[in-house]
Amino acid sequence: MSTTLLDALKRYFGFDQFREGQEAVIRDVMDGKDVLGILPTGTGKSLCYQLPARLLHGTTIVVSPLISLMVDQVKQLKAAGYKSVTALNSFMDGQEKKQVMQNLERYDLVYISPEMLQNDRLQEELCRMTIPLFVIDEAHCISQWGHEFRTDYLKLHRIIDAIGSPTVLALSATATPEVQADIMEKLHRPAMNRRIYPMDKQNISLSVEEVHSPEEKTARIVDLLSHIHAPTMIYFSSRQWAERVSVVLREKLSHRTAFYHGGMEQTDRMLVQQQFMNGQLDVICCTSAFGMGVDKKDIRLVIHFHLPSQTESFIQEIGRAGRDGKPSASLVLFTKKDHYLPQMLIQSELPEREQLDIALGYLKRREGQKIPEDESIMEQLQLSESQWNFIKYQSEESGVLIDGMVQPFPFDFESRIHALLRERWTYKQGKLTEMMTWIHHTGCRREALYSSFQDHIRPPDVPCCDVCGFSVDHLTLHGLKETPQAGSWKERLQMIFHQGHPHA
Amino acid sequence: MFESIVLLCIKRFKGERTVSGIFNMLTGKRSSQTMQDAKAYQLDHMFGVFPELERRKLDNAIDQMAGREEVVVNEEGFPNLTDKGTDHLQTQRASSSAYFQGMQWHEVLPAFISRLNLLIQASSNKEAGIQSYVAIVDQPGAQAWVKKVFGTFQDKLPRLNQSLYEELVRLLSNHDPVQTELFTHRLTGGGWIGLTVDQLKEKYRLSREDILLGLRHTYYYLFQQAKKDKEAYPVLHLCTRGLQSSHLVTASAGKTYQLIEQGLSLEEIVTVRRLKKSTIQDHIVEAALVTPDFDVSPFLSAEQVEEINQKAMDLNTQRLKHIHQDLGGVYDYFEIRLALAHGRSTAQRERKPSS
Repeated sequence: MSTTLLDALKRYFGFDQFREGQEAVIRDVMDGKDVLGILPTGTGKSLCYQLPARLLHGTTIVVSPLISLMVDQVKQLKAAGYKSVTALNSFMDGQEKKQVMQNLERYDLVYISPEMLQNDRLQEELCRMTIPLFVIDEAHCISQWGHEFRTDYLKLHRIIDAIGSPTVLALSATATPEVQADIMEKLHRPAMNRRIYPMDKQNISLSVEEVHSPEEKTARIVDLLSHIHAPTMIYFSSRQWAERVSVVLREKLSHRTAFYHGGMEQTDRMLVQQQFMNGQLDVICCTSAFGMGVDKKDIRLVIHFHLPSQTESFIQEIGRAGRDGKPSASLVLFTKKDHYLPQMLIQSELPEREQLDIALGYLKRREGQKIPEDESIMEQLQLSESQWNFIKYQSEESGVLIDGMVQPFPFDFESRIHALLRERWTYKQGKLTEMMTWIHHTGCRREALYSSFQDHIRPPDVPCCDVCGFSVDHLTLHGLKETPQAGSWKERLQMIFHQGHPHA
Repeated sequence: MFESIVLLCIKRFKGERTVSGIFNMLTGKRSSQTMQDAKAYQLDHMFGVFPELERRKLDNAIDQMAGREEVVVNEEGFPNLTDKGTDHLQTQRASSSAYFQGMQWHEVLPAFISRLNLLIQASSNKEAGIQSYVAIVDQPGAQAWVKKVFGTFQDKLPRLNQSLYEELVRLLSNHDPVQTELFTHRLTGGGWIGLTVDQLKEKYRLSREDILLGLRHTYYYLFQQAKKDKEAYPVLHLCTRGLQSSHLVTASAGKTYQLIEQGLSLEEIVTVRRLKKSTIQDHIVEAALVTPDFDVSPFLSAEQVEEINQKAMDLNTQRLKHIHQDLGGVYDYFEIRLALAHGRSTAQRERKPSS
């Protein structure tokens, strides 16, 4: 079996060997076993279903939460010669969607957003098809305790049963044992084969530094990068800061620097990503929107100008460094006031008590009526998407909302939803506290960061962390490929049409 | 460039249209009003040349011009040029926007841009031996088109690549130098990823508006040169194939026009189409604007058309209210609009051969 799998790997993807975890997961899947795979970022999670999709008869379905990620993956697969793949999402126009839907069976691999999957016509179509494998990517989204809870994920088990219970593969890069159990429970698949791989990166040194102001953070980055010339990512929690710091870095350093965030125009976003991949950029100042689907192997340094609101996100973000296995580092810069930003992030994710009361009153007044579109409700009640999602999902679960119609409230509905809200707040605050505690931790950072995910922490191949004596100032990283700059327009055209790729 | 285009719009509108009128013109709003304005005020070349324009950028630009006393905005909210503004406009190089032909080509230009960008990437990557890359253009139409071209040329692709390069060099050598820089640095291919608008802004110290307009103007230039001269620019010409200029009658106006041709009266069309009379009148005016030899005789005699047009010329205005009043209220607004539309499309046809 394994030799034929290896042959297939070579033939379809051009690799000579599997990375850690891939082969075991693929073998399980090919044998028809349900699998929960926890493989850290950068280990080629997606190959675990891309290869089986080629080998299995029928169409493999992949549920993926981020449309941009889906589109990126399809593009990359097509670029690599994997043609029978497509993505269905709500951003496609009617015509496009119709065309893909009518020809679903022709594809080996179809990415679908969880929202799209609720579409009745699509479900009918899926029931008629042969589906050997149903994949849930970013499976932590199914868990309320996961860091990106998505209510649509909770409905997945019904769909899996409706389409004839194909083999299920749930994948995630970060899931605590608590979340892992929750994934299996919510999927109604208690006997999944668990394939859990350690997420501690042995080639990444960790460090945290306290400064007094955002300006000091910027100054520290300038100082540090003036002797580090290697592909670097800097994470921000706001678009404005990402832009602002990128301007300063361009002024003060020779590094080719750009910013990237979700507010940019689509073409420019793609260009920045491609430039970074292509070695035309050295430093990216970005929000968490960057990185999903960016598979650059030689990122040497990940700096956090702002912290995410939980360790799971942090682990994923630093995991973008050193995918080639070579020595890399993570640096967190923080000030005493820094917990305010993630605090605000949490506030935008969950409704306040008063907001919940207003929303419940709104629903009550519409008993027996159909409620308007989501956008219009969010507008009227001044709720963010995830705030409204929370209320809507809980209402649906309690039978208060059925097909958009408001039903009479059960007697304890209001107190129950308030209790749930308190629970979620406490939970999110707890996650934030965990992140903040890590910042102020006085023991080994590696131990503290990974211990809730795995029992045994492996010894690193590089200096461990600042507590264990590492400092980013000791780093000597020279990973930059100098690319020639085009001067005039004529040179530029010559480069495009004649000289070819300098690395090819 | 952005400023001079806004100044030009203000000048041509002669204080008879609001800022919204300018915005609708540049973004190419498909309304009877905007299309009539384009013809009436000789701004058809600017129709739809700046679809990405944000309203607040236009407002800011006009505020700044007002601050520099190049523009005054009257109490009705209509901007007009001052002498200073007129002078400023005259110092601008007309060549930097000479190739805009919005009314004629704005609908098909995006297809040309997608085809050209993707063909350059695909062809130059093949030349450089790069097989796996992310396509710079998403549109399925453009991707299918490039695939077809590749299928047709096959082993002649190196020659296509060479010719494409030479055609671009020849055309760009005679083009606005700054716009040429913007265009070439925006391109992706041969292992090089194009610059973002922000990077172009920083590199050339230009506003976002000037960059977007400069790029678009270059595509208009390449498109029209290639369309005209198949022999000189065979590969670029290929990119323009099947892209036809639009007659720009909205679909609904087109239906009304068909009924007129079948001999139905205005009232009958109102009944048949179940639309408001004013809507049908809009359609008729629109059709008169863009249809050569439109027959106005069911609505107005040749003398009446002449009388109204003469009055507009004497008063030097396109404002219906003034014309209506000065003619003693004999003609309603529909008749005046129709006469002006017809007069203009006739005048344009007569002017064409000599120009």
